[in-house]
Amino acid sequence: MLDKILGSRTAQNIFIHLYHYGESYPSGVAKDFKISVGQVQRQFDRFEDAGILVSKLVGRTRVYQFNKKQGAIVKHFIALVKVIYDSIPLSERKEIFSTRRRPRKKGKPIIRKIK
Amino acid sequence: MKIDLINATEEELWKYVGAHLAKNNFDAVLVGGAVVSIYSEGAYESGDLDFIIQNLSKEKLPLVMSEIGFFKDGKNYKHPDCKHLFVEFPQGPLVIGEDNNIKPKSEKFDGVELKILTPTDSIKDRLATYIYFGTRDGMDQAVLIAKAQPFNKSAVKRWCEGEGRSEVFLEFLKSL
Repeated sequence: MLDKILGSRTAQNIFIHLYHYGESYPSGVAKDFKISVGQVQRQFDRFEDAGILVSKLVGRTRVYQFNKKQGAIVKHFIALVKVIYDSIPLSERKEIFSTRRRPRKKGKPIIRKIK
Repeated sequence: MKIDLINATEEELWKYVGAHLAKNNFDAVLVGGAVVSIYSEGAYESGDLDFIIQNLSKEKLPLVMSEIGFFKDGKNYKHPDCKHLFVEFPQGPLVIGEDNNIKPKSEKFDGVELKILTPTDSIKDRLATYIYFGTRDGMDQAVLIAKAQPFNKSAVKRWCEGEGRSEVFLEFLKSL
């Protein structure tokens, strides 16, 4: 649905990615959805220009997040993304977002449960 | 209207650009760091002027800006003589966090009405930067305005509560 509204599946993937991780960057979206960085970057630029996203440089990476300073507008959009995100089966979400990006102490091992 | 673009302050450039926009029927509101610069009487230097254009149609903006020598360079409008300040037009509408009932202050200048965030709304805008982007300078700028201008303390308190961040208002009060 979101892809039809936004006119692009890449655009939809960006917002799903942002909703999941809280912040995101083009190469992360491209890797997780197996699409080209160039097409992701163009969409990020578009949404930053529209004011729905903001970005900052972290090292050499431009990291994006929802522009919550414009909460009166953006919160409604995030609510729409949430509905789409919640509808994705958990198994598919696990597959897409298999990369851990939340804070983790340096050197702490990642132990994955194997079914 | 004449202006020394090489040495213009944020306030002088606001009036120069704002008046030209108003004469061309653009409903432009000055927001962001330049407002802090104006209200803190130069204690803060922003480096750019952010105008929110409230008109639905903005197609003529590049042409109107070119009439006063400002040309688009990426997202910004720059003038060859004004190296220290540039102009940007962030996307509207005018909202600060959850608050979409923002009434800018109007000021008569050169036969037209110029619009700028009130000191109270500018404090809210800077606190929003502190809350949502986690940068300390947002709080510092809010304090600069509050120390230099009369403002509505209870409105700032209500706004912080509306954002679910009452503790930010207490922190702001302690910093005054």
